[in-house]
Order: sequence, then C-alpha cells, then structure tokens
Amino acid sequence: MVQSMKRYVGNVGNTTLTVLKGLRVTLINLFRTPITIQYPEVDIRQKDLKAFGYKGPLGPLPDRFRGFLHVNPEICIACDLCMKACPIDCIRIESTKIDKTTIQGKDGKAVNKVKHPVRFDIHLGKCMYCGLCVEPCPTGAISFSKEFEGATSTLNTLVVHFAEPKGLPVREATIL
Amino acid sequence: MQPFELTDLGAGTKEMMLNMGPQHPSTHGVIKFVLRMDGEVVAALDPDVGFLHRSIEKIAEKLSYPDFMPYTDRVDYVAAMNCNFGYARVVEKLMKMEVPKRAEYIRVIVAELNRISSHLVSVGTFGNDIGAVTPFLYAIRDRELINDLLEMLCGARLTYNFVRIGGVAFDLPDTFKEKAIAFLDTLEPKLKEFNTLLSENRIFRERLAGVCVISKEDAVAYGVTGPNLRGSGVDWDLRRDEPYSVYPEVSFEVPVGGGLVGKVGDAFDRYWVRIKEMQESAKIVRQCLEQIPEGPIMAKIPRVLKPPAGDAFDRTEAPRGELGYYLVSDGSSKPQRLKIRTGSFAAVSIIPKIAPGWMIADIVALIGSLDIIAPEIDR
Ligand code: SF4
Ligand code: SF4
Repeated sequence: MVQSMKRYVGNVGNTTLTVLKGLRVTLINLFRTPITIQYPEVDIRQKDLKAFGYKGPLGPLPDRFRGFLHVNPEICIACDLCMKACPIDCIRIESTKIDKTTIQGKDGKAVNKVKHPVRFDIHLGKCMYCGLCVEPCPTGAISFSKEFEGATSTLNTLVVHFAEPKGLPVREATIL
Repeated sequence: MQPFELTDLGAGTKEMMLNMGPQHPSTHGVIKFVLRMDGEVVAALDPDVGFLHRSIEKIAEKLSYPDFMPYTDRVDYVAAMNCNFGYARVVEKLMKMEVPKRAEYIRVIVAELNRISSHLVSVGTFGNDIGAVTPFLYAIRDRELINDLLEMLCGARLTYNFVRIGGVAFDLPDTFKEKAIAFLDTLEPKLKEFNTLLSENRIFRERLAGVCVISKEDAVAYGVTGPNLRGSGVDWDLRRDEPYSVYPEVSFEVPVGGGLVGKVGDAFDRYWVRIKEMQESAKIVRQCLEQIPEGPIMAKIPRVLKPPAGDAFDRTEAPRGELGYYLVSDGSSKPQRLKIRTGSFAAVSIIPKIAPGWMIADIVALIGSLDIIAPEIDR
C-alpha cells in the first residue's frame, strides 16, 4: 500500500517535472530572435534582408532560385532544344530564317544565329519549374527570374508571349 | 470496396463502421481507413488507398529517361532528393555508367540533408498527432534551414530535380560548406531541446510505451523497411549492409529500437530510431563535406540516352524505407516499364494486422509512428 502510494506520487512528480522542463524550453524560446520573415513587408527578392529589420537566420532568394521563366528573344537562336527538353510540352516556338549573325554563348563560345523566333510562348500555368529547359540552351536566352507572384484572374495571362509584336490578340491557354 | 459485415454484440448493441479519412489530419495525406468498431476498440481495419494516384509509373513509359526525373520528385515530395537519387542510380546501372566521385559525394550530402528534413517533419507531425502541437513548430523551424540550404544549391525548396543521370545538376556553391556546417552545429543542441520538449516528456512516453508493437517476424514478413523495421529491432540498413555510392567511405552507426520505454517495436521505438538517425545523418554530411574531392560533377553522357535492352533493379535507403526502382528497357529512348517500390506501401499493409484490439486513439499513434505519406503509397 505504502509502496504503490509512493510510486503514484513519484509518477506524478516525474510527470510534472518533465512538463516543467519542456515549458522552460518554450520560455527560453520567447526571448529568441523570431525566425519568421514577414513577407510581403520584407521583400525576399532583395539581397539584404537586414535593411528591412529582419535579424533571423533565413536568407533572401538565392541566385539559383527557380521563379518564372524569362526569355530574351534577341539572343535566342530558335534551336528548339528547350522545347524538346520540356517533359510537359509547355513551350511553343515558331521561327523564321534570318541572315547569319553570331551570338556569345553561355560557355563563352560563339554560336551562329540563322533563325529568329517569331513566336515563343510558355504556359506558366503548366510549367513545373524543373529547369530541364534552361540546361541545354546554348545561349542562355531562357532563364529563371526571381519572380514568383503569379496570381491572376484569367488562365490566358499565364501563357506568356515572349517574342511577339505588341497588339496581337491574346491566345487561349488551351492551344499550347 | 466491400463494407464490413457488422456483428450483433447482444444486449441491443451492434458493431459500428467508421470511416477515418480521406481528409483526416492524422493520415498525412489522402488515405482512408475503414474501421469496424466494437465501442472504442478496433475489431478490424481496412486501408483504402489510391486517392493520390497520379500514374507516375505510366508517365515514365511516355517520357525519355532524363525527362522523367522531375516526376520522381513527386514520388515522395518530403524526401525528393532520395527519390531522384534512386532513379538516377537505376538508369546508370542499366547503362553501366561510371559517376564522378564528386557527384557521388554531393548526392550523399543532399540525400542525408533531405533525410534529416524528412525525419523532422515525421517526428514533428507525430507529436502533433498525439496532441503536442508545439514541437511540430520547432521541427518545421529547423527544417526551414535545410530548405534554405537546398534552395541555395538547386533553386527549389521541395521538388528539387537536382540529381541527373550521370551526375548532379549543379556544383556546390562557394558558401555551401560553411553554411551547412553552421547548420549542423545548431542541429545538435536543437535536437536536444526537442528531446526535452517531447521525447523525455513523461506523458508522451507513457502514451506510446508498448503501443502497437510490431514484432520482428511480422515486420520482416510484411516487407516493412527503413526506420520502421529498425524500430522493431532488426539491424538492417542498406547504406551499411548493401553499400552503394560513397557510403562505404563514411562511418556511421545504425540505430535500432531497443524497447527504451516499453516493448521492442512499439510506437516510441520507431519514433526514437528517427531521432537517432538524424544525428547519424548529420555525422555523414559532416564527413562528406570534409572528404569531398575536386573534379567533374557530370559523367560524359550521350545526348539521347538509349540504354541497351534489358532490365535492372536498384534499391536505396530512403527516409521511409527501401526505395526500389525496377526498370525494363527495350533499347529505345523511353522505358518500357518502370516499377517503383516504396516503403510506405509496405508499411500501410501491416496496419490491418496490428490494429485489431487497439483503441481508435492508438491507431492514430500507429499511423503517425509508421510515417506513411500518401504520395508514396499511390504513386
Ligand atoms: S521549367 Fe520544366 S516544365 Fe517549365 S518549361 Fe522548363 S522544362 Fe518545361
Ligand atoms: S534553347 Fe535557348 S536558344 Fe534554343 S530555342 Fe530555346 S531559348 Fe532559344
């Protein structure tokens, strides 16, 4: 009887002790620097988060961040490598022949440009940001930007036309 | 699915059928369990899976070998690196390809970092299931730092698509090593804190001691692997017993459940093995960062991959058990068949065997301690 009474009191004491130990941890945590970045007040695209008053250990978006794709049609040679690399076919390129020019390639070597894209559509609503299209590009025309805020009210605006004269009608998102 | 036959228990009482899920917080994704209940006690349980089926294996047949890599991210999105790694290895095995040493080291570093982050999610959500909400936030806080590291390396936080057939996509950035070491330095004290908060808590221990014991024999018979198998006291880890990549060059221990608070193979053992494994993974990452040689990160591979006709199977130790890829090639540029074997599927198959006789609240502990996630079960 005395034995089991002792054990009972011991158990209650032990439980209270371990709970108090846990509470000590949470109490310590109350005085630590907050780790949460107050997005969107803090612009994580900027290099220096300290300027916004953030003191925690997290960093801004890294250089390799995979945001929306961006295409520079001026240096694109319309080789279609990116279109073929994409597993879900969300890139569509049409091109015309032009006079030969040379472009500085990604690895420093010169690349001949004999075609120019007249249509370069990317369906950002389908894209899974895998990066397989960026890797084979010889000129670095297609690359990731640091943009990631993609909320929009119509599906069509997610199809971005990179090489198109202004004023053409917006195409339906389903055609890609 | 057939509904259960409900037995009359006499005295005007009857068994009850209960649907748990598909939207139940403790099922970690969309899985449904149909239970036949005798009051609070489970009489039978039937898992109903397939809500998250995305036919990943079929998609593989439609895509070329390198193009399938982003889809392996989605096999287990909590540990995408490990899934990338396994797929790259099976194609390399089929093509008899040599991978540069540096690439192998980088693969092991990212796989182990991902294992830590996956186990953090696992132990955090497990605490959450049992009723301890605070430790979950602590675990997620630490995981955020790993996400930052991997984002610095490959630009993504969850679906990395980082490992390539024949190597890896990017080399380590300049500041990676010091940042990774700084993180590992903070991990150890934080885990200690986590243990004070959760693992050493008497209520948590008593809640799990001796609950839902999986015996050694059952675990082996049902093909349960990974931390769940080791929690049952079976000393088996592919990284040590069937070494691949650069694991033979690093030293680490394999934690095995020993019935710390209850019986061997109870829910607490499975939880405790994960906590221990995080410490071992941290050790592996440290050694790899020290030993990593200079050199190329990609093997020379042809532009179009056409493995010779034949088949290959390769298995690696992923955070949720053995991850096996079986690949059949007909010599063309697309796989003829790809079969993915995952740890969660085997783990879910043992639940009907263990569940009867336990209360419904213990089923939540069982599911949480097995660390099953829906995408891995359904693929
Ligand atoms: S990032 Fe991937 S999904 Fe998106 S366009 Fe490029 S290859 Fe296609
Ligand atoms: S791979 Fe580069 S250069 Fe070739 S079509 Fe695509 S964006 Fe243009």
